[in-house]
Amino acid sequence: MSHPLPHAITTPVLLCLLTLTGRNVLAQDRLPEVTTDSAAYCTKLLDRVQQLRLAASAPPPREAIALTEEGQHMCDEGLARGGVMRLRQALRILLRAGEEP
Amino acid sequence: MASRSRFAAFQSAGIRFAATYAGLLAVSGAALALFLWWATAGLLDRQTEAAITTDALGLSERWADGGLRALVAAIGDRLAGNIDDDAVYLLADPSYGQVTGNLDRWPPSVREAGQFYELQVMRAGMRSLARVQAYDLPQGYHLLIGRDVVVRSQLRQLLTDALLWALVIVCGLAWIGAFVVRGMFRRTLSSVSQTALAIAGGDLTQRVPLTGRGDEFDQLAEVINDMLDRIARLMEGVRQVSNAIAHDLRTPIARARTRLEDASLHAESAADLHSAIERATADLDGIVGVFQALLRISEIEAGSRRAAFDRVDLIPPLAGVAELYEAVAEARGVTLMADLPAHVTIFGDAALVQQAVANLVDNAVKFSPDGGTATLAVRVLAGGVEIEVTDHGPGIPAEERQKATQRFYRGEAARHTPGSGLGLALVQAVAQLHGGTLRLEDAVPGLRAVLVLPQSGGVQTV
Amino acid sequence: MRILVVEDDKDVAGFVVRGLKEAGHVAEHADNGRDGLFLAVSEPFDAIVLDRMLPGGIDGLKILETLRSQQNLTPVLILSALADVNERVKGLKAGGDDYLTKPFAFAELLARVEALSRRGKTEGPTTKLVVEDLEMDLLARQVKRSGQKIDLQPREFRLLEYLMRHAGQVVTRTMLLEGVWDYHFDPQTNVIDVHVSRLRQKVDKPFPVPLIQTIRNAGYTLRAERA
Repeated sequence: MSHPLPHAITTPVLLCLLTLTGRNVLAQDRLPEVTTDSAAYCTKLLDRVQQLRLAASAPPPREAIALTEEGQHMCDEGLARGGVMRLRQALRILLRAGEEP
Repeated sequence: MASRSRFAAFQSAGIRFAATYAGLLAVSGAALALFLWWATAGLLDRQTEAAITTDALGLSERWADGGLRALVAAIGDRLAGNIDDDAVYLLADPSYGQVTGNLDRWPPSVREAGQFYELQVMRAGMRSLARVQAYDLPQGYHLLIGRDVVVRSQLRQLLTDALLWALVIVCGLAWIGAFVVRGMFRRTLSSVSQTALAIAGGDLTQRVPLTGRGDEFDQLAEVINDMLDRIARLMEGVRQVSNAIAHDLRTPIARARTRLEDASLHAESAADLHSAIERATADLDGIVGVFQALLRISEIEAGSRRAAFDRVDLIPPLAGVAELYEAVAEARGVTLMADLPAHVTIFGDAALVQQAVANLVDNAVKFSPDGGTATLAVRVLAGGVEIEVTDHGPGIPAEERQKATQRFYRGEAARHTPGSGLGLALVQAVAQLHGGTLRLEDAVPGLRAVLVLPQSGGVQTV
Repeated sequence: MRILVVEDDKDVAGFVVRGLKEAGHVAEHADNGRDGLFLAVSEPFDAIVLDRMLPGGIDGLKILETLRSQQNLTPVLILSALADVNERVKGLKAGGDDYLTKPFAFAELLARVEALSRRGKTEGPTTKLVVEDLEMDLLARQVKRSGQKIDLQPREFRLLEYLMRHAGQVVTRTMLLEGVWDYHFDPQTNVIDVHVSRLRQKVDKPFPVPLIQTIRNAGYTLRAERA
């Protein structure tokens, strides 16, 4: 986080926040980790996408396919968060398509 | 000593005004900033908390419907559908071990349920910030729901910084404004105090300058100037009297003294002494009369007689004056005519008006030539009551009419007639007390003195 | 008459007391408020001459108020150096019957004191005034002397009436101005003299015995001339 403003104002605010959490700033390795920002989660999402495609009556919308491929590609490249986001979007489109009669 | 000087600063009204202004501006600015902060940054927090609470409600319904399995499925669905990539869930067993969710461990700082915490979390190797709340479930399970708020918190930080700076600027402006206000205050007062200083120094001609805006300060200046005019007039009166006493009273006093001294040195018989004493007594009585008249004029000018004003009919006392002087006029071969309406009412002091008119009539009769006519006429006009006394004697030359109402003034023509020169001064004083005027005009030949009195009694300065 | 003089100034008091005695009256003197009040309350007087400013804690007005509150109606002439109208009114309101400012001519004081004492005694509504052969009918507004009718203008009538009501007493010019014309100021010129002289033309001149006498340095009086 970078500020154009003097640290004299922002640092006390940050310190306040940190004392709330009661954490030692320097002990980075003890912070909880969000597990959905990983290649492993990508795989899980891909499974979900497959399941939906199999269960679907109609062929999936083209956008969904494109997003799925993009997502998969990004995850393979190591850009987990971006990939996860695209896969989630693809899932949503598929879910919506599945809900329509 | 420091505390005393601090209090002394607050005794200055200018500083008090300026400080009040600055204080009000700063407080207003702070209140506005606080409100803005609450409306914006505060709103961001409230939105996040509302989202978490709604989420919790939904998930608890799933638990109620289908127990643990349904909850797990629900969490998985929500995570899969979290397009905004900001949701944080952790379902933990009674020993805080992970059951499902996207947080790898229960954050130790989140000790109690039902409270919002801000949590630092790691996302793909970068630090982020989440706002979370823990919920206690039946059978000892714990559910943590949260949202990633790093962007929001950056925004909130920006807003807070901006508002704090705005507050600093407002305080700076208040400070400057305070000086400006104090300057304005001082400038306005200084014109008054400078005038007062000049007057205290002896220059009675100074007046407080008007800005022409007609505002409260101008009104104050006008009142002060009126008061100064009055003071100047009264002081002029005192000066005149002092001069006159030096002139006109010393003479009869000296004469009386001379007579007595002469008698004590040169009287040859008891009869001589007796007559000298009698003449001296008469002189002294004359002097006492002059003093009485002076005191009377001062009393009238001081204005205290106004308290005894009443609605009075002027005709009976004025008719009495005409009657009184008619005999005198006849004895001199002068005809005194009176032209009086049946009733004339004014708000004032009948005795004073009677005395004033008597002075005018006395003068008119005194200065009328043998066989001449003097008139006393009273008229009611729109502006007020006019009492006119006319004679056709020598009159007063135009250039002397202004001075004629001064104390002890005696015109050239009157040099050799008895009188103290206070008659017109008294008439003038009575006129002013009643809010009216005295006009001296040329009766071609002679003098027409017109005493104009308002019927209702105006407010005036003497 | 028995007259009480309450005045702290020795010269003025001496002057007044001497003058009163010479005029044939009995005069008592007190030089402070306490003694003055004591005398006024404990002995009967026909008139009191009361100075306003007195030492001893009790001033003239207080004495006056005390007397009046005890239903003591002795006529009181107030003497004062305070000449302005407010003070005059104050004095008369406190119960005084007349007010004379200092400095005063003794003749004025004497005339007024004598007039005061007379005031209490006569009256009841009168319809006729008679002095020697002069008769005045107040109802018909007519004057006759020795049976002859005298034509008088209203102002002359009032002037004669005043003189007749104070017949035998000295009436000063100031008293006439106040009593007949309700005029409370000194007119400088001798207006009264002129009026009296005109009255004389009508009332005295056609008759053998003059009734209107001039009292030197004092005023006038209405009485038959004494030999």
